[in-house]
Amino acid sequence: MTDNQFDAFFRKKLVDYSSQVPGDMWQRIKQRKDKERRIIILLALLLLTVGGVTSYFVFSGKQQNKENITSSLEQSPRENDHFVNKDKIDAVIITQNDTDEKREINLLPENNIVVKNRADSDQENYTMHQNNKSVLNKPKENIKASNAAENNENGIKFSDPPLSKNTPDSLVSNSSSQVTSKPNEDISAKQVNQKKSLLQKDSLSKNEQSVGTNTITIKEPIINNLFLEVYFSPDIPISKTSSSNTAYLQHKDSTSQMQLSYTAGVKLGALLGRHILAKIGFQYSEINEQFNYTNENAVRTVPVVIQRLLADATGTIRVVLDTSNLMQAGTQYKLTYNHYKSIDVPILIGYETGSDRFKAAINTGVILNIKTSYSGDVLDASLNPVDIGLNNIYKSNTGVSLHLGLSLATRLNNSFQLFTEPYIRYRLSNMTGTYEPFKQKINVGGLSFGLRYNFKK
Amino acid sequence: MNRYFSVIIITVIFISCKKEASDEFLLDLNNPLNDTTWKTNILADAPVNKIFEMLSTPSQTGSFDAKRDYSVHFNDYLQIKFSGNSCKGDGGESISGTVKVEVEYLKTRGDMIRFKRSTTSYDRILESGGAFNIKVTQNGRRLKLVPDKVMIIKYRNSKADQQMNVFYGDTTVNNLDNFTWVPADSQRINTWRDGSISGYELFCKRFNWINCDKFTDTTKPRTTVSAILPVNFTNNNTAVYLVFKDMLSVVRMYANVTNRLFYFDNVPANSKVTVVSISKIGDNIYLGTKEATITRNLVVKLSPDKKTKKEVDDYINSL
Repeated sequence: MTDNQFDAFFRKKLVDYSSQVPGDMWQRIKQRKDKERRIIILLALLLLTVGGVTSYFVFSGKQQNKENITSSLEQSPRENDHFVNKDKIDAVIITQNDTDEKREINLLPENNIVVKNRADSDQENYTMHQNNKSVLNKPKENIKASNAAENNENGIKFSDPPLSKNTPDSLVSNSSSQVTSKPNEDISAKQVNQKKSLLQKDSLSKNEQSVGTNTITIKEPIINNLFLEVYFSPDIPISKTSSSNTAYLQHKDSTSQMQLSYTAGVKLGALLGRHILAKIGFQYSEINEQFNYTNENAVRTVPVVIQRLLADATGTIRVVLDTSNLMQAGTQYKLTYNHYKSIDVPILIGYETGSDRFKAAINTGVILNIKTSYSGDVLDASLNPVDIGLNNIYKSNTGVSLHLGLSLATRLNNSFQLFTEPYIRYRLSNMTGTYEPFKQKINVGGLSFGLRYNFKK
Repeated sequence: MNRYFSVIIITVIFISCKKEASDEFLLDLNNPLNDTTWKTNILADAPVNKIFEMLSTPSQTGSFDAKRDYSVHFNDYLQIKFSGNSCKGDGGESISGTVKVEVEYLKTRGDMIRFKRSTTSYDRILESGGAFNIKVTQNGRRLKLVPDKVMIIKYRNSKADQQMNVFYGDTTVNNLDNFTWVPADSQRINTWRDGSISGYELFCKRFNWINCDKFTDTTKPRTTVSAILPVNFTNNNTAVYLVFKDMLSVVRMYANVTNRLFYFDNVPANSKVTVVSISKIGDNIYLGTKEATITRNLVVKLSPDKKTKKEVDDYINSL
């Protein structure tokens, strides 16, 4: 008999066969679907909440920045006026930053100090402003060369009265086309590196600047940075199996061997303050396991069709086809690669520290399993290999895991960071069904590699 | 940075490599389960013959003085009466002193299977009223019954039938079991009744296999009954019986080696039977059963299951 005849024989016999559906089948399916729907709704709510909170912080921070920018813009025309006035100043002071010796300029008697202002340069405008500040911040320094009264005497008038408060600045900014020092008067223009400190202070916007009667307060945003991480991790799974049946446990351990596995995912993170990290994302994990089964006393059944010729009492020959199972004894070798595929939501917090170039962070949190599917083989209670996906041997939702990792990152450029993170993932609950002859947890140790993109450069 | 990417790419490639799964089965040619050949000649040590060694029960024993009339009592109200000086040696010498008697009493259908004794005379089916295997020995030597002496076997039977005759077992024939029942020439059977109890008295001129039989009704139409089993069950490891429900008759079916089936001709139509297969494959015993009413060219398909010896014993005893 050929294979086609064999197939045709079965096809003919089974073409109208239909198996009965258990009465509670739809009820079970509905219960499962309701459970999955509840999980999806909960996750969606969680994501919405986290997204909403994140958005609030992000956009409220942006709004604050906008207000600051607006305030700055309102302030800048005055300063520009101020600078315009300064542009009119012919006198230029030679700003000395290089050496301490040059910081103090002792103006000799009879010397006219001509300070040329490079009027078109913002930098120099800024410098002048800083110089004003520096003088403001150094009230005790010996500035004898000028004061407001003297400057006013020189007939210099400012359109912006509040700026006239910057009386010490008058040495530079309020000077007329010529600043004439009186003989024997010391003008000590001390320009220490306060310029730098002022720059920092300006950039950090921590100072309250009083301009006239307006007070502008610049707050530091709660979220200092938003970033997106894409990562991949080779994992080493560690299986922890227990069973009340010692013989089963021995066979299970001897047939199963964990293999190199992996995790890949994406996380959205935020830097809260200077050190605190918060991350949420999606990740796909695949735990691999080698199932190597040998049974030296195996019996398999093979369907066969036997054709027989039967002679009846009248001598007529009848052909009788009989389909039966042929049992064969031998040794069965079965090698299967089991895959435990999970989709998870990691929710992590961390503490980050380090320099601008290198950063280290410790991350911890929970990993919520959305769904896990299984393929491969596993030993049943009678020590025979069965499909791992059958009979709910493993749970489709394995619950919560704990994550602990140490992240090391290096800056590639303003936008990207390369990071690596050795981590462990500890499973809190068993993955197996209630009525299985064993209980199993698979913990994972891994080393992630990934790229972080900073939205705020 | 390139180094980092190289590590990642190599890792991805390594992990994503699809490993080949395998599922191999190597046949063990020395395992008896894989021997599916049907034999033309069944050897004495074939598995099928081991079945009967395994199922047989020990015989009952007794003794008597060879010079005196003696009645030996056994279980199941079996009584055997020996006349004085009724035993002789192989060479015809007279025997004196104590002799030993061993009896195998086949009173049920299961006993017929257990002792491999179909109730057939060649291809004709017999209805039995009980069968016996009587061995008389002295110091291990088999003894014979003196020709002009008789041995009387008296036992109970609730359906004592006056149509019954004495049959002797012929172990010289060349058939499936090297055995058949042959009608005795001139021996008689008496039926007896004592109140509600009835039974037979067999007057025998031989020791060894003795049967109280009659031929079944020959007026009914006859047909061939066939039994087919899965491939692993061959005539080398399986014995198949037709067990009649309405009479004490058990027929061992012959093997059709060419067509790999068991059969028996001349089975009375409309008889109610149980087709029983007993197999021994390796150390395992398989039992297959199916009840049927004999129709024209009936083919019965059996699917034996693995059983313990006790399960087989219990089933046979229940037949």
